[in-house]
Amino acid sequence: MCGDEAVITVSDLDKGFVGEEGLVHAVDGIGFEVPAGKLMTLLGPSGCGKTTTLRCLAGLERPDRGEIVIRDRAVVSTARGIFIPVHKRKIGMVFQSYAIWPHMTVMENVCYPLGEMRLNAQEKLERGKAALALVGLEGLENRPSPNLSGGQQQRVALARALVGEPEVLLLDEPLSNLDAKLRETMRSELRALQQRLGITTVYVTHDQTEALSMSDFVCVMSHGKIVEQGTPRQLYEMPKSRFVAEFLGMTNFISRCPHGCKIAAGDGRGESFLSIRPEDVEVRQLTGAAQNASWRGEVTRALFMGSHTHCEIKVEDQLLKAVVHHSLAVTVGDEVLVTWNPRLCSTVTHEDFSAGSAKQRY
Amino acid sequence: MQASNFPEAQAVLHQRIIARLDLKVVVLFAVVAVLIWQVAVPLFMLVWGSLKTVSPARAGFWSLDFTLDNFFRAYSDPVFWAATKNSLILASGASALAFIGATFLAWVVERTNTPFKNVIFVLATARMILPGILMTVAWIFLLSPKTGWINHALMLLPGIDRPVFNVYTMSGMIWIAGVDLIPTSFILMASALRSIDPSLEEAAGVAGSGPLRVFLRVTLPLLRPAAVAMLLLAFARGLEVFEVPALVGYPNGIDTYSTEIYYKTSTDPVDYGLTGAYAITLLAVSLIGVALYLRATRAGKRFMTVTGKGYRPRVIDLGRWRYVIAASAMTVLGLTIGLPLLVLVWNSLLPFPQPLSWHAFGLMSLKQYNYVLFIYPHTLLSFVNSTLISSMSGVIIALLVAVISWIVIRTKIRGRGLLDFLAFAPLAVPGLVLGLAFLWLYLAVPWGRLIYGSVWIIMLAMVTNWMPFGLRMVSANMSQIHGELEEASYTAGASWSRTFRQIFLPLLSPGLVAAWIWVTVHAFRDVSTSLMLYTKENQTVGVQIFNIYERGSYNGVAALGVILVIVLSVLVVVAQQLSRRFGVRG
Repeated sequence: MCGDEAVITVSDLDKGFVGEEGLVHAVDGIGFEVPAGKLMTLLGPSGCGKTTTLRCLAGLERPDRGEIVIRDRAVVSTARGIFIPVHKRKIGMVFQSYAIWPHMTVMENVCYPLGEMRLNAQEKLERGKAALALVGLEGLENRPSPNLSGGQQQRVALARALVGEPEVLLLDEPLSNLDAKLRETMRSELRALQQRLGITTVYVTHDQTEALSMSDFVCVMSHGKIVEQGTPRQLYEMPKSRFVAEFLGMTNFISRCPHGCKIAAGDGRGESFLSIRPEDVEVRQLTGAAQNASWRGEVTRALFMGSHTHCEIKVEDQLLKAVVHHSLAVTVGDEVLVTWNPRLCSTVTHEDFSAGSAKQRY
Repeated sequence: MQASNFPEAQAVLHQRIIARLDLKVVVLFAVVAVLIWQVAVPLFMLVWGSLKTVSPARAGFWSLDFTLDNFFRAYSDPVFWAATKNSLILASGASALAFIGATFLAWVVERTNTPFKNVIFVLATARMILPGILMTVAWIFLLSPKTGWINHALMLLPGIDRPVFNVYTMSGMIWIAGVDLIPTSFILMASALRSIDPSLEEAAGVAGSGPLRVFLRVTLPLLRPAAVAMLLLAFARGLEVFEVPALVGYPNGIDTYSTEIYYKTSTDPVDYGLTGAYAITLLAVSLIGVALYLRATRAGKRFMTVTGKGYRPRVIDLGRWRYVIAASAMTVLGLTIGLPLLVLVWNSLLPFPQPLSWHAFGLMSLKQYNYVLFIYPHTLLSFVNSTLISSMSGVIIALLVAVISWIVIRTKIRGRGLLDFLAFAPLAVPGLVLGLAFLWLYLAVPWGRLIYGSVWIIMLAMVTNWMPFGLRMVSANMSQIHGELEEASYTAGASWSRTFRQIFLPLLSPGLVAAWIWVTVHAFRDVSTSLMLYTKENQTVGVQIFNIYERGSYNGVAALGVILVIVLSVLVVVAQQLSRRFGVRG
């Protein structure tokens, strides 16, 4: 994936829970690596196993099978009978609920992880202050933590996770409880901080925008399995599976293309389609010069969004979604020409991940 | 083995040793052992003893020849069947009365805009510090045909020339026991009403239903599991009530299980086996009630809309009626708290029971206080004993249930279900039966003499007796603490014991303090359990009050009762102040 040395290596990880419907494989034989200083996102819908994977990394869950190595130390290896308990792993973690202890002040919260280290009070204070400065909360040291806003709580949680200088940082949907505006600010701040500190990070989210904008690498998960992994750009532009193409953004699945693109031969795992993103669909007025390799279609729906217009265009028997620049005034009923650059369309396979091993009754 | 694997192999070995000595596991085993000794063993003793004709202290008690003779003797005696009937009537009547009173008060406090709601709430719950035995005596003062205040007052009215009420009847017993059950029932109903999501009612309102229809079609069905649970719990408590039948029923030939058990063990010749048969039967009936209660509360979990979450409840605007409702709620409380307290204070200053009159003021003195405190033996000792017993059992229960609820709610350790069951089982064991079980246990084990006759035997019994209530209060509190708060501590590198001390206990402390206060108050006012276990030097305040009553000094009981109420009030206020000072944030 990358030349850098991997700080986190996960292989063959399995974790099942006994639910009402029998054993459910929350995590089903997954493996990935996170290179030093990089941010890896586990992305997927709820129940896909991303949080369970993160909790296995942290040591909050004990996997049924598999191996996790953090910086050359096996923290879990079922084959060798190793399980390092959570408090002996050098990790920092931010929880979805932030988990700020309400009976402590901001400073007490932040300095808590230092309690395990041989530091005198002065050193602790300095490191706590440094951590708070890192997240931009100077001056709030003695504030009782219940009197914090959501965004401040989030920052305190981050400071607390970083203060002990952990080997890896684990983030469990840290932005999901913030309102939309704050989430956007925190997204870029968090990414900047992560890059500045160069800390190896695993980030769990169900929000594809977060995943695409913040990550060096993304693992898209479904039903306990990694469907695809790669850089955000690879996954967005050239997804290999229908699930990933759909999950990362709006797309069109079609069986043929005006250029006569061939659908790459499926490997027998499922039906194959072509995927083309709506913003890659070029729409022109009929009045322009006649084009080769374009289709005629009729606009059946047009939603003006300001900077652009979301259109639905009927071409023969299929409906195409297209995102059109606002300068092109399209209205419902217009006849238009549709085409796209064939390099932008990818072949995806439809695989059913829910079938088979994900759920087994015993 | 390869050389490169060696350090890792050593690490594995190290890991395994640590896993074995894990404090968590040690604590788990310790708690299980304590619970087995405190719950399973005494009950086993009871069953064993009921199948024996030899008393527990004698040789041969441990032999393996069993007999059902005790049960045959009990069941062939008409007294047994009369006691069965009376106990069932008393328990049903009292729980129904408690249900009506508690539901009314809870509805007023939680769901209406009645003025003085907070006062009503405080009064309804604070009544818990009034021991059942005092309330019974107070009602005798109020409703006795000869000297009862209420009878006297009514006879002043034209056309009434005979006493209207007679406390010494089954209805009198139901009234006293029912009123005594109101505070606990009130708390259950109030929290159930509080936890109904108001949007469910609002949705029905939006759908066009009037307030009455909303109440009947939405609120009541949602309340049903909680109401059934409350009724069953009150029924189980009504079955075991001892003070009321002992003071009101027994002297007038109305026998119940509890009086039979008590008088069969306290009067010579003690018939251990027969008492055991009674106790087992009472336990069985009570078990049925509690089993149904558990089913009802489990069914309640399916009503996911009634959660532990605190909603802002929908308040019904009563308009002008709110003053009427406030007045009637105050009347209920005045009648069930104010009047009994007043009559107790009044009579504590008098040499013998007196109705209200100017003449009586002339007889007033502090002689009764002098008598119970300084002339009647062991009163001061009994206060020391009760303070020790109740505060210690409160501490032990708080610590035990903190660990138990943590294990049951937070971990997936196998056997945690057993822990939950053992801690909850004493709910089905009447206080008197529990006392009997502890008595037998420490009579039968060879080193039991070290404990028997000391305050420790009573304290141990109190721990078992009030554990289910402590557990309930604390685990309700615990389920509101987000699990991530603890996990954040582990990921910060803290061990289990540091997490338990610095995160878990402080977060749980409001619940623990509440449980401690509740247990301490109830253990302090206990009569029935300690009555089975006291000998000479270990009597409690409850026992002291009962003994003064048995000597026939009702006014002495009133005086000691007033002192007890003052002591308990001070205790509760001090505890609350202390917990606030030590940073318990409610």
